[in-house]
Amino acid sequence: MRRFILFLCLLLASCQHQAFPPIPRQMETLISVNIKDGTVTFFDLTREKKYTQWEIREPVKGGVLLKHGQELLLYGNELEQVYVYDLATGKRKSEWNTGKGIVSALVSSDGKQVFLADEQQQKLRIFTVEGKEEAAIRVGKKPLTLLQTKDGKVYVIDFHDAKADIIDVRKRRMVATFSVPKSALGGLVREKELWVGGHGSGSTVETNIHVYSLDGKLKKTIAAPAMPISFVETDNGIFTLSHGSNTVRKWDKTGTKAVSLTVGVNPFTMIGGNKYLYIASYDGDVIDVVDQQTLRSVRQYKTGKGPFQLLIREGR
Amino acid sequence: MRPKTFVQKIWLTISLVVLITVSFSYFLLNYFYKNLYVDKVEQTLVEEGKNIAADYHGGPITDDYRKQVEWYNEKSTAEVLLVNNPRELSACLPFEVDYDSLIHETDREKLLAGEVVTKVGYEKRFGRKIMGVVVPLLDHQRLEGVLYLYIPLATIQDMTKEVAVIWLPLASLFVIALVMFGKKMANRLAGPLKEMEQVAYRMSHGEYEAQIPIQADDEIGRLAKAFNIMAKAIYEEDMRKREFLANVSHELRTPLSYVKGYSEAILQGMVKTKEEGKKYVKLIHREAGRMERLVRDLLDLARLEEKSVPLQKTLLVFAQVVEGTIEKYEPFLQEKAITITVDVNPDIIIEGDADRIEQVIHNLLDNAIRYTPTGGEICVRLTPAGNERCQLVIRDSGKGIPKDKLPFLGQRFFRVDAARTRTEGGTGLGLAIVKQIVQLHHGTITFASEEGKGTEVVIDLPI
Repeated sequence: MRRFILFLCLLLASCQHQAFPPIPRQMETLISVNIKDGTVTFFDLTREKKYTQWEIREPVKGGVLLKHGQELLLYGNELEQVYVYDLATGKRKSEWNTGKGIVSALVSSDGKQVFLADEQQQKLRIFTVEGKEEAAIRVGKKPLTLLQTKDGKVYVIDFHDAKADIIDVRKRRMVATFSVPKSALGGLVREKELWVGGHGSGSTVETNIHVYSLDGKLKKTIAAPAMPISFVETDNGIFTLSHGSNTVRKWDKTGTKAVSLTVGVNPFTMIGGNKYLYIASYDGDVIDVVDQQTLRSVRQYKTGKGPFQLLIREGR
Repeated sequence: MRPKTFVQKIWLTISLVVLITVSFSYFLLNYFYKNLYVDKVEQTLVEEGKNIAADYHGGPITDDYRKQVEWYNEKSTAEVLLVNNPRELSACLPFEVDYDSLIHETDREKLLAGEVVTKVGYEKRFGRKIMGVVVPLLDHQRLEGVLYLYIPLATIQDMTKEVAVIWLPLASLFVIALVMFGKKMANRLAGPLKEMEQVAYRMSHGEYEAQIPIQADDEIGRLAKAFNIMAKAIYEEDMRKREFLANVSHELRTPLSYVKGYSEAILQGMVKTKEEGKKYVKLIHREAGRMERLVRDLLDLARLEEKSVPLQKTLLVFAQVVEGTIEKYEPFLQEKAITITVDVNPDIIIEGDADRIEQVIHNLLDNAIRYTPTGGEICVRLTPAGNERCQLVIRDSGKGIPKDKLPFLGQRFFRVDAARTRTEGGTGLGLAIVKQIVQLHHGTITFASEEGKGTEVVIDLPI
């Protein structure tokens, strides 16, 4: 009996989620989701140092910021729910019962909706920021990459099916599909074109960026060996990250000329701030800070194990 | 089927031990051979891999380096692969679902840490069992490539097969030889036991003289020896029993025939005078008395031997007992004009049963007086012998006892001269009783005699 009560207590205690160190609202924050040890690391970008680390200890794979950076949504394809944390308190605010299979997330440009890509249901699921599911649209088997245009279209690039679907969010339906290389991953929506990266299929290593028109016609390929998978466009240029060669390239607006820098240890993801690029090394557990103009590495932050996604929360 | 005989059991045990030992040694041999050999191969591969890796100096893998490795691959007995395809190295790991890369996640972690990874077993990529090592080519923390060195395990297994080809027939021969030897051994071990069994059966049919031949001085040999001794003891006991019965019946028959003969003479009126009649009745009375003594002595002896009547031990002044007994014989001594010399130490005190000790002296004096001729002499001496013992010596000047008969003194119904003594009225049990009593008092009795000069009896008792 005593053992049962103890068990019950433990059960209740485990339900009552612990609060993590709060993240001050005014702090400009770089957030790293680390998948090997299930942690989230926070860096104070103003003071240029690590602020704290949340030991989630669950198989999270990525996250997005909701409500102008007040909340952090974390997901993982092995988790039954997505978790929403209030950054200012460090507490888990809510859980959305999505079921397993969420592999990617994107917040709509107006900030009112969240798109969750579900590999089990093979659907793009549209939620309100409060967690209410509004619609679900059939997509491919492994919709890893989500990109959006300013006019409310979402590109769902499939990793497995060698295709990309164009979803009209307002109409809640798929409007077009076009072919992309197998194992396509990462991309960039520009004004008139769509850049798509990838790993390559089988033992073939992808060395090119495929450039499509916004309606899905292949316009050209740009050589960026090996395995370009992360893209950032800022006022300083277009940056692509090739994890196979640990190379970050800076392109001019036309995508013809590039300067490059070897950086990181098998870096999977990159995000751009006002002045710097932040490049996370999956094998090295570090974030390299690279100046966007000079393309020189200026700093390095230590993260949890296996940084897989980066987010920047503006300070206020 | 359970083994029934001892031979079968021993043989089975030996065979089992041989079989277990041989099979165990086979597995051990295989195990060590495989392990030592595989270890050696692994060591060589790791060494080779590290040597080639030493030529890599960071940065992307160059074509020159690749050529160098290819050249080495041609020359080496092992397969040497240079792999720098990130996909094969599991670089895209979190995304991979349907690509089975050469290096798996855990291996990659080790390689990133600079460790050499060893692989033994079936490798899908090569479609066979291999023994391989993977050496990382690291540029700081970047895993630029790996050197994959392997040899097919079949080569190693072929070698163990070769060993088996030589080993198995030899081992089988060895096993057969040992099992045959085991059977002989078992027979040899159990042989004396079988003989013992037969001898025991013969004994149960009364053949007590049967003996087991002793072959060795081991446990079974000693058992056989003990068995022989036991058989001899039983035989002797049996002989004694027969002799005893013969003696008892003989002793009883003599007085009985007297009683019967004289009483018949009386009954048939063969007695002429009153004196004659009285004489016959006297004879009958004497013989009845002798029978009574015989029966009493027998009973006494039986009791002593059985220890059915415990001794009433008290502290005795030995000298008093001796002198007291001698006094009772004064009339007889005077009758035969025997001179008796008594030299007893009055300080000797023994722990004993007064009546029994008296019986001892009584019987011995009886004998002494009986065999000492008229005018002879008897000498009684009691002296301490050592710290804790005393000796009572009774010497007569009788005709003595032949030397060869001395060892038989003290046996029931033993008489030095059977014909003569019966007339002198002894039962032949006196000394046997003496011997028993002395033994019960933890003493010893020895006889010494010289023919024609006399006999000396020495009783040694603890004080």
